[in-house]
Amino acid sequence: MATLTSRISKALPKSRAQKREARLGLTMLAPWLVGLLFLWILPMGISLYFSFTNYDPVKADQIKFIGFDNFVRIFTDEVAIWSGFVTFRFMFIYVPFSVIMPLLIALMITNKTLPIRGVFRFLFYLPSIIPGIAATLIFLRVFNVQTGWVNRILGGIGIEGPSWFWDANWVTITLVILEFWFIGAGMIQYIAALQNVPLEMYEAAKVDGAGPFRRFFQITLPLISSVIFYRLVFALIFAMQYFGNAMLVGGLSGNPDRNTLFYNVYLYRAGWTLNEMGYASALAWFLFILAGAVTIGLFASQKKWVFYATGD
Amino acid sequence: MPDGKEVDWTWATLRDVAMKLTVDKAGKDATQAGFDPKTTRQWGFNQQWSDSRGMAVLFGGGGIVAADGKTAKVSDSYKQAYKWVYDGIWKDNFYPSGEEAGSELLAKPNEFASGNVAMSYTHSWFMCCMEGGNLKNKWGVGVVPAGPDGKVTVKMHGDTFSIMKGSKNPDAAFNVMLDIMKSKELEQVYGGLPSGDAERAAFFTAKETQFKFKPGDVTWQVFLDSVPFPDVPSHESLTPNYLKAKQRMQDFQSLIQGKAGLVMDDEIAKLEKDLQKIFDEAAAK
Repeated sequence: MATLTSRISKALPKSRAQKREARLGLTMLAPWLVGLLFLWILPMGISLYFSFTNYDPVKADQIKFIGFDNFVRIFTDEVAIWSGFVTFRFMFIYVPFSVIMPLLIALMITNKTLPIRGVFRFLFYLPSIIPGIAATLIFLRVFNVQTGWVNRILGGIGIEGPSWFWDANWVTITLVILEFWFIGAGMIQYIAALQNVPLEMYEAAKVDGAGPFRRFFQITLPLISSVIFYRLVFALIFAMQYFGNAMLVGGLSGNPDRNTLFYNVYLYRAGWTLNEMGYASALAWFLFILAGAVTIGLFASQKKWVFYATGD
Repeated sequence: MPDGKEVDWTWATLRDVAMKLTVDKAGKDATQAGFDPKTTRQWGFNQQWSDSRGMAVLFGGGGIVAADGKTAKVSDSYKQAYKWVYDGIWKDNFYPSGEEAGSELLAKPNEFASGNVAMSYTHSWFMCCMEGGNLKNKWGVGVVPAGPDGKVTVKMHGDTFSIMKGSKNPDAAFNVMLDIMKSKELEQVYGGLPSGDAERAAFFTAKETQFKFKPGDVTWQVFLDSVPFPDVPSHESLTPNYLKAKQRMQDFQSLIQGKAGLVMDDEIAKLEKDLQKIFDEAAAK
């Protein structure tokens, strides 16, 4: 206790100048703190409260505490379970794609034998600056079975293109393909990590007779594992939060045949279409807990496979 | 018919005409051998901006709720209509699927206004939104065909305004409602066919001006002569647990328009079962 008190006492500003500086700092932080409180913590608190009620915004006066009923309902609601499956199926394809694909492109672009590497880097990054919703609206037309360019090109070489967005077997893959458009950020992160790998390690390994694959798996991968870890956490959370593109492609019904009825689309549908705000809040909190557990699990696992140069 | 033969104007005739008017990239119509539905460039028929209840008003009224107000029952005329529409999309190919409706050919600005759908069954208020595509003012109005029993059913939206029981200012709300009714401008903006005889002529004149029609170009009388044939019960009749039932019906519509190879009787049975659950849920509250 004494240690804690002394640490707090040390942290508190003492001189008038320090106090003025602290006040200024807090004033500068105030807008963000207000935003944090009113736009984040407060709505989260309210939604936690709603998750234990039957709250319907149209019948707000009839709000009733129902304990864990909404949470229990998630496990008996066939559509909620299905939407979880749709999300998991997407995650299963998207996460490896999101971790591996930018790495492959980064490796290609940092390869000194590749000419005009800067142009490639620019071209791969360029699509990332286009807003996602706008890009998806364009791709809805580009992948249209009737008039889309993709199927026209495929038709030109004698391949009959699938119904990208309306075939249950293709739609998840197509949604993952759309994410290729936004691969630029991951690529830049990997390039930065690859450029930080000390060249001497490669040279020493070469002297020891290590081939390119061994050098990649035993030097490159461990030394960029912190970025791989970041990409993995990011991809898992992104997949669990997947919403906008699914709504644009499949609408609230999750076309085709509920195959784009992602968990968050179902959550949105429960809250904003069916006015079951209590249940929607429970769905949101369940996802939050799940995402938190997955993230904690990943952080716990990093000791075994993630290398930090600082030793953290 | 194209050969000059006169036939009864029924939904079966409309199907035949619609197939003739459905044309693929090679110029073949949907009745010809070798017609390729994957390259359709013009469709014969669609229903514009109808929900799944509205799209079932072809062969009679009926709805999805039995007379007791709590049993889910898709009426026989609705079942027949759903099958007719489904065959129109996936077998006879004259009715655009969900994906085709989203293509460059039909999405700009909407299916009928794109100029690539020959006939569309819709409400008069849809005249709001027929500009901006290739259709321009090259369209007319026709009567709704008769069903197999010879009866004509016209799906109708009888729009009314109501003041909620819990309204805090019912008198003020009533005055606003009166103002809306009195205002000629708002009436045009609202777009519905006025209920008063006197206002109807002005409504049609305004439409002629909007679309640069000459008097007589469009037979407006069709709208007025259709009024005595509404769908009863209306497709917009009271539905228990409305929001959930509506979502389930929307899912059903998406399924019809998005998936080939369905056994419609099975899907309708599933729909009825789900609707019953939804209705029961409302009754239990």
